[in-house]
Amino acid sequence: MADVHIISINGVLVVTLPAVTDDGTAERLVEQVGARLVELAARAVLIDVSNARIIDSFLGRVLGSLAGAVRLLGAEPVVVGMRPEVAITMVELGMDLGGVATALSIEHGLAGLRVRAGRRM
Amino acid sequence: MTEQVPQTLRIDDEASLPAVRRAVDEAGRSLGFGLVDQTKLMTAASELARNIVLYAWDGKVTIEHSAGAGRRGLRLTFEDGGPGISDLERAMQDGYSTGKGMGLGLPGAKRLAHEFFIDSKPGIGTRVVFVLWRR
Amino acid sequence: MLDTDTHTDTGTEPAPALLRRDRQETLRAWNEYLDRELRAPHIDRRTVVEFCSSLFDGLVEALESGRTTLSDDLQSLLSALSVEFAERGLTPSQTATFVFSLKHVLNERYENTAPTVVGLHKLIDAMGLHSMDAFIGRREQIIRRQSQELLDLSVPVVPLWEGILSLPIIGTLDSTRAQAITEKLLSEIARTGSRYALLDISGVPTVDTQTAQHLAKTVAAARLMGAECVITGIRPAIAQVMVALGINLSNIATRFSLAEGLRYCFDRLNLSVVRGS
Repeated sequence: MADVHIISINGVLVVTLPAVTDDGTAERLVEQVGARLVELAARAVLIDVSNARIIDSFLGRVLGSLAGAVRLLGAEPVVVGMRPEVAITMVELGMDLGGVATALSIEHGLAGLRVRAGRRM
Repeated sequence: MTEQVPQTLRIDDEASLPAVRRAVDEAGRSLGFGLVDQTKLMTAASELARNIVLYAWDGKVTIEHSAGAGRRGLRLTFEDGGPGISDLERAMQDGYSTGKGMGLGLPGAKRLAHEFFIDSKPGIGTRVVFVLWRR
Repeated sequence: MLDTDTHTDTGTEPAPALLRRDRQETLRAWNEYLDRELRAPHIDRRTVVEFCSSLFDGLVEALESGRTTLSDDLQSLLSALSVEFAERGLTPSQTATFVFSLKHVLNERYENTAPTVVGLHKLIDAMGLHSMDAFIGRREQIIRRQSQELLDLSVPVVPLWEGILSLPIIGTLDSTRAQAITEKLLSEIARTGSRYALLDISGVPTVDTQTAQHLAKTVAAARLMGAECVITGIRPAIAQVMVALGINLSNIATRFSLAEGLRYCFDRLNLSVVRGS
């Protein structure tokens, strides 16, 4: 079964979801990412969904809680790389990500973080 | 065309979901659905199958081709012998949920469908038919 | 239309054998009849001759085996014929004539007597009906494909600047068009990596609640991907209607003109336009 990959780039965690995330993996996601976040003292988490072929309401809800947990731990969550067909389906389904920041790709996501960090300084 | 339909799969716990998604994926591909419709199909199947796992614990899905008026499509029939839904009208409203879902399962799947029927009898079970036509 | 055939087999002469014996002449008579009656210059004669003999043989085989329904082979033959006719622009009645004229030819030849075996007429009727279904199915496919092509043509996504796309929407926004527009816009956003899209609705005659809902969905989907949409070209009259209808696009950036929309994107991208000295 394809699994979640977590890597860190300059204090930013990049969490990559597989094509299809099974329920068990989704349920462990928040815990796993939380642990790495604390361990690395990351300032942001990019949740890369570019491989995800479907995001149903269950996974959507998991993404929402993941973003919430990341914020509580003092870091910024960004969902990146959502495919057009997945975005269309999520909207038809009546789901949103509750105002979580989004970006077209990991590169766009990192650039956006730099811009926001620059503004804060 | 590789006809693996009609096909019936049992849905009795979360571990059944990947097989349902895979079978729907293959059936949709063999009919030549576009990327968006294929995604809608798999997402709806996931929602409806999960509904069975969450509320009825045991049921099945039948995947079959549907033809009519020069159109071809896929018909998914989800049946369970669970507790049934006493207030269908309310269950079809967004945000209504008795379990741990977001309450988007039924109304959400309906919005993804071209045709959608639901029939439920308390104490007997629920039957949901989801049809998507090829554009 | 369906001929409820009450004739019975005479038992003495098996009709299929008789039909087989007279095959050549019946086919010639059928072809001549079609030459006179079909009036289809777009179908070449050889195709007609081939279809006739295959259909005839299929019919005789069906009779021999005592089947009352069409075999898969016969069905696909009829489908092929109907698809051919539909693609070449023949009418439904020409397609029906093709199949049903075999009845006429057989009646003439045997003067309503010999091969009146139970099932012959039913089989020909079933053949006619199947070819109608296939014909209509193919026509509808062609119509759907053409309207899809028209839809694709009517979604011109234009890059305005690096990272900024624009999409002028012209005409009424029904749900089919809204779907086509959303799919095209989103795939262009992904392909070009554009963070901004200007949806210009100055060419949309009226904005009702449904149109607004379509726009809001497009904007929401783009936002999930990481792109922001700006709706431009909202004429004062339309703004008034929208307010009256209680349509609220307050969490979507809107601008009066395309130029203002572009300025908004420049601001967000931290770009500025400077007049040369």
